[in-house]
Amino acid sequence: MRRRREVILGALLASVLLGVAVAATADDGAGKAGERGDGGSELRWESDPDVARARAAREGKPVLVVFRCEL
Amino acid sequence: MRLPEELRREAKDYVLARVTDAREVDLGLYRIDWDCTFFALLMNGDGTIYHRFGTRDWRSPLRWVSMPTLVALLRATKTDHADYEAEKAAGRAKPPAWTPRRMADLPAFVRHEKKRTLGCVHCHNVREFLRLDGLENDRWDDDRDIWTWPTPDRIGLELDPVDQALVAEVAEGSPAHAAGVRPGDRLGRAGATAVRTVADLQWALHEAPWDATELPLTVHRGDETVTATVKLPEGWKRGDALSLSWRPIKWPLRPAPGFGGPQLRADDLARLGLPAGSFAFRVNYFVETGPDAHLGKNARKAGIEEGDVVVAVGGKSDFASVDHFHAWFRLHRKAGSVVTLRVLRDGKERQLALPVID
Repeated sequence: MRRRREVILGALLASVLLGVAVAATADDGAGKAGERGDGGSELRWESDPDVARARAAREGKPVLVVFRCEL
Repeated sequence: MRLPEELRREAKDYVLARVTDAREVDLGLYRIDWDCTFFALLMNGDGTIYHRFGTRDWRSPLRWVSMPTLVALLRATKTDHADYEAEKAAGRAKPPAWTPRRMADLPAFVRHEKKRTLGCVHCHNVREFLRLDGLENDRWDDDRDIWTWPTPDRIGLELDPVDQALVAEVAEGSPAHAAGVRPGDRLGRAGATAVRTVADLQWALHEAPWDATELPLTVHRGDETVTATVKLPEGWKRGDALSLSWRPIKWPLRPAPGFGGPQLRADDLARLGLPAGSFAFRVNYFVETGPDAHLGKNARKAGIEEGDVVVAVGGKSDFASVDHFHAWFRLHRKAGSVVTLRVLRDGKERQLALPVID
């Protein structure tokens, strides 16, 4: 019961903030442009934060690492 | 299927990562509130963490999480990133050092995985295994170490839920009040931590030692920047059952009741003739499998039955939620004592005596 509720809350947060677009990028595979999930804006989500940091160091960008429970 | 435009506009200037399985995460670097189901770190590639986002409290999982706040934070952190890079280039800032640590480094986790794999390692699993590892190595004390990521109300501050560096209220007589912090002040730093979110302030409080006696706050008041030294009273990190109630870390604490169920809704309360707004829950499970099966058996032996409506425990009936009841039981009942339950069964009230066991 409590696990189910936590999962529901996690899903709620995810849908409010990062939404199904994130799930869509996952469907596309990590590291590939999320065209389906983001209207072709080419936002790319890494699944490994260490890989994201290495990329950020190369590209001179900051990193956003999101932790969330999956459905 | 579209990321909101305002979020997309800011996020495109970041390298993005999402973690849904904490199994391979470096716990030494990515230090988040592992009780949360959503959390975000804004950081530099070298490991420097600029800001944290995504806390919650017992009132609501969404109270401190909103789109405008995240968008504003992403925008502002770009400035922080540029400033840090400039400082680093000038030799005035250094990347942090940390000791990498992963779930595979926790013997309790490795043993568990050999018996029955978790599959996906959720954030709250991390916290549970950090606790087990700490208990095995005398680095964890349930009396102290469950009180993590203290909320600002612990020092008397209420921050604005959207503009989270803005002080909304200061409790009369609180440490923050005594330090001279005022509503309308904007937090700049807490100790060494730059504050843009409530989670940033929580991090500063979390990192302060248990026996810390003060925390310097830098606040912006109009055109002025002032330092307020908050005096921390003894035991300031320790919260109450309500503040613990939402946290999954409460589940492994003992003693535990061994049963539970859903809180009654308004129509159920009315049907049973209970006052509107009162607390009651219907027993619909006993813990009867695994290493805690003795707890469920103990509850059944005490006469508790499925379908019983619990209206008071130990004379207390003002629980805010069933989670509050569970946290309270674990914090305030002692093994070896007996707690009296008032329950409704078939329209009649009964009193049941539950022996409290570990």
